[in-house]
Amino acid sequence: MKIIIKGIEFTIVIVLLTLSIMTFNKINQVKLIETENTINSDYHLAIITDDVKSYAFDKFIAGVEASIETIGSNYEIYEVDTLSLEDIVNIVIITDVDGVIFRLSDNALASAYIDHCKQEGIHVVVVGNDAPESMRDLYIGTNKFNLGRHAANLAIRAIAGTGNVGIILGNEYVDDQAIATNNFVNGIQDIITKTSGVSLSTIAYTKDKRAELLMDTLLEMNDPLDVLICTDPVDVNRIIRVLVDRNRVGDLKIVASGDTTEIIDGIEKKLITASIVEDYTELGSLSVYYLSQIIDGESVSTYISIPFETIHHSTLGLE
Amino acid sequence: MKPFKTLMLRNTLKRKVLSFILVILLCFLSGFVYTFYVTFKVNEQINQMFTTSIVLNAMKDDMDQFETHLEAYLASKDSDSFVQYLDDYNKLNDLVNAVQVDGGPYTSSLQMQNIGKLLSKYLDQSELAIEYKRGRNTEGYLAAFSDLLKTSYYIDFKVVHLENSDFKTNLENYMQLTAQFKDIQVSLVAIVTLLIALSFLFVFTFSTNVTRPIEELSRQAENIASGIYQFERVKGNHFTEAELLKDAFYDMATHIQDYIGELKDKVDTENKLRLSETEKLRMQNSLNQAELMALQAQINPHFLFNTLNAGMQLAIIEDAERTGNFLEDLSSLFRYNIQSLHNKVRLMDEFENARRYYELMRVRFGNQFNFKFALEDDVENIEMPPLILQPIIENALIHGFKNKTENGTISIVAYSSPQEVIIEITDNGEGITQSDLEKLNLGDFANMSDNGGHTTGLGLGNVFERLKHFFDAPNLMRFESQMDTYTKVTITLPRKDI
Repeated sequence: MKIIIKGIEFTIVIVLLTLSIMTFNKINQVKLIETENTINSDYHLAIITDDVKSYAFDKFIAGVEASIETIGSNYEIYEVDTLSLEDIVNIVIITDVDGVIFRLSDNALASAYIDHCKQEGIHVVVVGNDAPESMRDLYIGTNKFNLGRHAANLAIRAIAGTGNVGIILGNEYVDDQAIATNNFVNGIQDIITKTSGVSLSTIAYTKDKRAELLMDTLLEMNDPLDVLICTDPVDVNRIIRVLVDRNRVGDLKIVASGDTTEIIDGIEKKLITASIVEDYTELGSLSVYYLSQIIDGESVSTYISIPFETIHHSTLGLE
Repeated sequence: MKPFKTLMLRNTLKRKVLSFILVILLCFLSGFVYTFYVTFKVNEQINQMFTTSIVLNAMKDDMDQFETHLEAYLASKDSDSFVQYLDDYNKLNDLVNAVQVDGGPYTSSLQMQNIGKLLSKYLDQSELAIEYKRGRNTEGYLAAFSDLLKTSYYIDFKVVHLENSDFKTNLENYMQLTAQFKDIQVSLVAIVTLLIALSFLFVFTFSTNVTRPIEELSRQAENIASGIYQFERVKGNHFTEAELLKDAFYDMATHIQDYIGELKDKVDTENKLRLSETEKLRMQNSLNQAELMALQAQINPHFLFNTLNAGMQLAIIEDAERTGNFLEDLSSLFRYNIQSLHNKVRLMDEFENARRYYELMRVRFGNQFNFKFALEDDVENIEMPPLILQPIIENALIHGFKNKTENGTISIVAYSSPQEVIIEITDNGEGITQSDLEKLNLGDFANMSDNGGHTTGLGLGNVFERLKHFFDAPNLMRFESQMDTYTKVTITLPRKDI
């Protein structure tokens, strides 16, 4: 009996010790999630953008995050919406930001602010579209004109050289006055005007209206579209859904942008003819990388080009 | 100090109680400390979650007051407003310093650093506005105040941004903390339950350890009280008081045991003495009885001896040699027979007496009986009580040949063995019945079928008793017989001369 009681006591003590140590570790392992803006290094960067909801932005930020981790910097995102560009630049200056990435639909319009930043000793990189008149340190981006030309060629190939071409521009293309929009649309027009039997009949912006509603309108047009060039993968998904719902798959060819799972799936099922993939992640990554180099005083070229590629049925190994 | 040392070093009940209370207290203290630690951690985490919000709220209130007082001063140059402005300025400046100080709680918070810088700018702008006001530069102080309000707006924006961001993070933290502390709560419940179980076991073990030796001693005390003096020591190393109690109890029990033993020995000795005295009395009684009988037979031994001597002289004068010898033998036999039974005689004296007796019997019975004597030289001087052989021989003559017509032979042989002297009296008479033989060998002479006719008045019983008391040994006589063939009485005497 005595031995049994001693045994039970010993077991309880061991269990107690184990449980206590485990609980103690658990308590000590309780760590609050750190806030996003925790300072990890000396670099303080800011991204000023007018688009925070697009696929391109998500990819861009993913690239920024990856690069930020590598070089060890902090960054803030300022959206030109609740605050004016002037206010944002003022805040950036007051808060001693080391470098700013301008990612606006028309960076050229922000040239004065870019110059203001430069005067305050803040280094500036512009991405997506250039602000050639400004004092920016570096421009990184895809050649939108070439991108438009390439998209037009894919569209014409999809309709075998005859038909109406439509363009649905996503959030990163703000309006028809923006340089990026102009360059992209100009590239398309450059090809179309040189090709007989093909016309650019529609240019629409999903910033103003959701893609499903736009599609409903486009499908009811008297002169229907034969091919549609989409710049936002999210819009592509919505458009495909409308085509499936309206049983109009095959009536309209789609030239998409991006390499999301849904787009790859659409290409495999031949709902999408091809997709142009701008490497937004690379854009985000390089912008941070080069900005840090500029802050460090290293010599960097004033223009870095980001290539793009095309995904279609054959490149997926399905033909 | 010394009592404390003694208390700690010795296994006393006091120490046990103290240790027990300490262990229980320790158990519950550890549980309490653990719970306190958990509560502290939770509190710490919650504080961590909301400290920034509290600071920012306070800052916003201060900023509102600051702007009010500044505006009042700028409007009226009122000194009270200026004093209040300065108070608010100092508060906000302290906050700026607290935020921007290296190693402070906000060193790693980018947004708080931003707010700190904006606040610093905000304060600079207020100073500038004051300066312009004092310089009567209306446009300047209005522009500065306007910039200050703009910076205030930036601060608001940053605060809102930070609070939104913190709210999301805090919500996640809250969810995470809730999940983690649910696990920890379960562990704490388990720990407290185990502590209670452990305490219960400690109480059980402690009470058993304290009461067991006392219970065991009580049981043994009950046994002793009920007359069971055998006990087994309670094993185990108990606390000092129990050991003392145990030692005292066993000492007492041992003394009682010894005392009871002594009493028993005393009673045994007294019993033995009483028996011995009884035996002595019985022997004395036998001797007295024998002597009384002898006295009854003597009447006047001197007269008888003188008469016999006169007869013997007469026989010599008349040349009656045989009569003379007969009277001489008779006289010697009587003289031998009337001696005190307390005397010691030698074996050869007994043989001589037996021979005289034979001579007398031969006169009486002629050649009807033939006696054979054989006495080894080395046993002649063995000492023994008198009148042993004659009663046995008489017994053989009286009972062995009562109904026998043939001549009888009685042989009396004495020889030595290494440790003893053996005397054998054998006759070829009628023999003894089996029942009588058994009685004789058991020493039951009183119940013999026929017990009379002895010259000396001494029966076998008397011989048996005297031999026993003389040599202090039982059963020295052994009877053997076969009906119509023989009877043999063997006397085995211990050799006192060895």
